Amino acid sequence: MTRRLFPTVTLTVCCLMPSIVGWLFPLDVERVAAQSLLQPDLSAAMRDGLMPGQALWTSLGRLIFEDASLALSFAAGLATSLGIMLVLATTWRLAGRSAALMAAVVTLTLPVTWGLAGRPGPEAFIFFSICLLFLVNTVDSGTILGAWMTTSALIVTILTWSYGAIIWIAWFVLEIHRHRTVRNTASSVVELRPVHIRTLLALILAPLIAIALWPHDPMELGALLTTAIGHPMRVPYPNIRADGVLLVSGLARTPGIVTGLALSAAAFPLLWTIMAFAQAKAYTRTDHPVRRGTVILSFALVTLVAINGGPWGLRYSGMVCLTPPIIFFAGIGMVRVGRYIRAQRNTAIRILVAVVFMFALSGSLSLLPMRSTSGPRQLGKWQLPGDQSLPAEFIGQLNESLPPSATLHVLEQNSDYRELVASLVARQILRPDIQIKPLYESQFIVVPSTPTSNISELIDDLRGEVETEVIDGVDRYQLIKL
Amino acid sequence: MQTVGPVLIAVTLVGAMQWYVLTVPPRPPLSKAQPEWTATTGLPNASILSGGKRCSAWVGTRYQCGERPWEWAGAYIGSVQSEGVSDKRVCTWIHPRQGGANQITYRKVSAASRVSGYIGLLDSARNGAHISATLKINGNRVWNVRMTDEYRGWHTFDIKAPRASLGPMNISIELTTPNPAWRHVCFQLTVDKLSASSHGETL
Repeated sequence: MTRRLFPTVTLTVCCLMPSIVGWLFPLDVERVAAQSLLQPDLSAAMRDGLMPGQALWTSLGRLIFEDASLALSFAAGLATSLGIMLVLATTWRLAGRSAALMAAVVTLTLPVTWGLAGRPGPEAFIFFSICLLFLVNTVDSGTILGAWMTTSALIVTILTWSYGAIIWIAWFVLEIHRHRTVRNTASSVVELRPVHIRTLLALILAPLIAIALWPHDPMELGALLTTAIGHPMRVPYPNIRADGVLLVSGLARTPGIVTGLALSAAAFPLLWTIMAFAQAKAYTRTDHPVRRGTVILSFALVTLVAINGGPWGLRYSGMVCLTPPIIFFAGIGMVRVGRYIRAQRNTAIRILVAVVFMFALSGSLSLLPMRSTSGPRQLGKWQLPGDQSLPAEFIGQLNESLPPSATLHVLEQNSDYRELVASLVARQILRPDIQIKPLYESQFIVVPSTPTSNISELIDDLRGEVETEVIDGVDRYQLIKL
Repeated sequence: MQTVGPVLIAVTLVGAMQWYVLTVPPRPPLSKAQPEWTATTGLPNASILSGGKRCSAWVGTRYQCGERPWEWAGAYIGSVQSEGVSDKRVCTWIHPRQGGANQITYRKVSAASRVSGYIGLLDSARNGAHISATLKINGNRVWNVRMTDEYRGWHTFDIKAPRASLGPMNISIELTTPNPAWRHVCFQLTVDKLSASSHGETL
């Protein structure tokens, strides 16, 4: 009893901790990514492109809280906790209790898991859908329960995430791979075992039910699928700077697959990532079809993030994609390291491995204060793109500083900040008399100088007066009077 | 299990190397020759005619040339889409007006070997009439361009200053259009003793 009770309680606490911390200490920012989820009329927001799976979570929050921010925070926290629970359950099912406990340690050292509830947005719901896929992967889709679980998980993914359609395709690959048999002959002919009708039904029904549940014209879902598959690259990409020097210009080019992968990996504690990759490589050799399934699912996610140019192709949802496989494989990898230490008689090797472990743990813990961006803002000299958000302090200063009926322009590389400020005016977080205008008609400009923007270099020539300024780490937000 | 040890040592080395690569200081920025004079910095001392009429005195950051919110002349950040991405540049905004040409004249600009710059119809400009720009140095036309909705983008130029202009020059740029509606045009001039950009048209 105690043998099961202790890990169960420990894992439950680990699942709840990031959400509770997020609820108790929310980050005081308004984010671009969260605006559609905060709209008073969710059905109208869905007509404007809000994914129905995300709206469902927010509606759940609104059953309890009237305030949209609280509702979203609650829903994001719940989705985060359930997601962590699912990925830890997957780890327990496939690799045992110790691996699940180690995976919990990894979970608690990742800034992204702490940021999901404190900085609410759609990422928590995407995280949940991916974690659900990992758990469903461990279930035989040939059984009635397994088929329903697979169908539900794929529907949730397609409806929560515009790139869920690619995961649905990956699931076909996964099932084909599971049913392959390699003849041990000189010709090495690969054959497929018969696929159970329930497995096929689960795969076919998922998009059909998703289309039926889609609140709009089914053609829109079709367009969404073709966009996700045919045009995965998004421009403009943010700039990456070091010591104020532009290293990768979003204007000049988009990061390639290698850069994207390197930056994605760098967004996590490096040794966790390496350990996860090493463990995933070990899993590819196994004959266990479920274990191979986790590798295929992870590979699909990594590929998706890579072809989108790293975490920033998908914004922070890119990092969220990679979090479940990192937790899963790094957790199992830690157990292997532990067993290796126990098996060693050589003290020097024991010390070396213990140092590696401490290095990984301290590296992870050092990134924890960066939960505000769900990841590191700076790696060494590299300033990585921050979230597109405005601190509440700056919003308060805008309300105080701007004269009545002021004309305001948001000077940014892309239109996201402009949409954020317009949304804040519509939601009356900013004064409703403030008018958002083109630059040539504006008396004031808002300049968010984040690492994602190179606008600040152009500002000096405008010779405006800085009315108010808020500096938040590497980000600087200015209100300039022209 | 025996393979774990070497894998661990290998990943530690790779990890340490990657960490070093990530933390190594980047190359210092290339030294950029500062232009001696630009149209945006010289604007407070320029004389401006908009729609054939003189604009008000320089107030704050701009000349007010008319009552409408866009009828002013001053430094601006112009955006022109190029291959799907927005190319933003510092430039001088002056919206054409009915009644005559827009003319900005910069007097007694220091002697220079070259005059370069760019001009373009901005993304915010809706379809409309063509607009012509003429650049003059000491009253002599040295460059002109005719911009239409089909011929958008930043048009660059790099001109060798006339031999006679070893002393201070008078540089002027004139914008004319049959219909000023939505002709959002923006330009920049740079006078630089150093060799200017090799891009663009050279006369």
